Amino acid sequence: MAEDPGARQTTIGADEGVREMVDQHGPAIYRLAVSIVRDPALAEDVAQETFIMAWRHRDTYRGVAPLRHWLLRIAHNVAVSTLRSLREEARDPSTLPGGHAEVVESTVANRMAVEEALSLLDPLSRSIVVLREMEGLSYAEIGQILGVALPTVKTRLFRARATLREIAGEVRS
Amino acid sequence: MSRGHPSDAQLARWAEAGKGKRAASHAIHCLLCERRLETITELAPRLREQLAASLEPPGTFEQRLQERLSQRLLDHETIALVTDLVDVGPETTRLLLEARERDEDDE
Ligand SMILES: [Zn+2]
Repeated sequence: MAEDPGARQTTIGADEGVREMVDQHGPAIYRLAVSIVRDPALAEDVAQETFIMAWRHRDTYRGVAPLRHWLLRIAHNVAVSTLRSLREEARDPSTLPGGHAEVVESTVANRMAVEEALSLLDPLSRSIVVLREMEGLSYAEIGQILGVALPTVKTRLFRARATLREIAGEVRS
Repeated sequence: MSRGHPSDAQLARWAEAGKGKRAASHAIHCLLCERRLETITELAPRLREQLAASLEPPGTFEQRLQERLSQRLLDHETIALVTDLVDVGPETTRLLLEARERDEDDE
């Protein structure tokens, strides 16, 4: 079959559009995804699905909230659905991600403490912590992205932080 | 603490142990106490750095993601193009494409 130049052009356009989204928002999407699924390979799958879904449904983005918020909401939905379908036991410390062989030992110890603390939190609390501490979002923005009420955002955030401080508060320098 | 605001100790006890629900329900609706809880539970800079490190994607993440997305989009466009040309559904087209690939493998 002869190649259709128009179709090729569409592919290039899509490629560039998605490339730009990944450049700008890829790491933020990964951070939220990995905080929920607690596995680096799964988090990459979630990121991939998020960008594919965003691209295919880009017509539904109305531009009211920033693009990143829209992407984070999709990522959250994909991650939660992934978690559900795998029936992962979110509080089970055995689901802690591995594979950080390149980091030095003290960093490993510190990271283990943080990951232990994260594993004690439920997926929603982890998402809230990431959106607040890593993305610097307001309570209202977090509530909109995750689809939860404002009091829930605050309650989960304060309690999650207290857990992090208690379990991982004495990280070594 | 005056005017019904819980003390720092009460707020901390709720955040750390879930004790004192009255203090919690007050704090969630009181701007002053909400700010106090922000301070009481604030993460130390080093702890926040460790949190960021534990969530950071691997160095090869973006390149790998870009490659996988490009391939997925290319597959999607190919299926859409064939669907338009032969006027059949995407699933039928997918089967057709897979059948063609298998034929080529046989040769
Ligand atoms: Zn108050």
